Amino acid sequence: MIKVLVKTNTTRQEVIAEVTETPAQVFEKANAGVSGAMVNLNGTVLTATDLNSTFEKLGVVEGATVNLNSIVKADGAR
Amino acid sequence: MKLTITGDAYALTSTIKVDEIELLKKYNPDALSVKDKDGNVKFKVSYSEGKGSITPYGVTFGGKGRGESDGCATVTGTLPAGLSTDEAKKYVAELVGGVVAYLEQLEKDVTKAAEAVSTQRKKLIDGITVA
Repeated sequence: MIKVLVKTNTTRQEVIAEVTETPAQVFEKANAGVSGAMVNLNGTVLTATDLNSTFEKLGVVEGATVNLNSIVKADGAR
Repeated sequence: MKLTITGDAYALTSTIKVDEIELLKKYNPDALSVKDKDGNVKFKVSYSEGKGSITPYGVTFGGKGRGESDGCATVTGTLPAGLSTDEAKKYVAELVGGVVAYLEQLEKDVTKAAEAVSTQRKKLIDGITVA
């Protein structure tokens, strides 16, 4: 099991997940959207393929705590 | 829950059956987790054949017991070489110390939850009319 700290522009949650789960599944559990967002795992940007790859394939080991961020960059006000 | 050391290997055998874990994973995954007062999951158990592990966040069982523990979920590992009997016991105690309380809590509830799911499924299956 791993601990995934899910962060979006508006929320922060901790999700306990298996290494055989994927970032997409964890975002779904956390009710966090990724549409239009830049997603990164511990700072490494994830592609669409990575989102559906297991944490194990992405190099996360059992017992780890990882940061999974989904950030929407909005244009500044003019 | 039972802990055994044989040679350079340790095994944690739960009273939870692998079949119960697989049933609940599908139909009532909440029953496999311990939550805090805010409803956040603190600890979970699961099963993944051949890939058992014990972490502060949960136990993934990797095998099934035999004999008197037939079908019970187990997780095994190896001990560092050269440990005395006492050192081996302390090593294992250190490894599982943090999860014992959660595991014992789940062992009380999982079987009941699995029975409830089985009863519900049986009722559903019995109610199916085949024309």
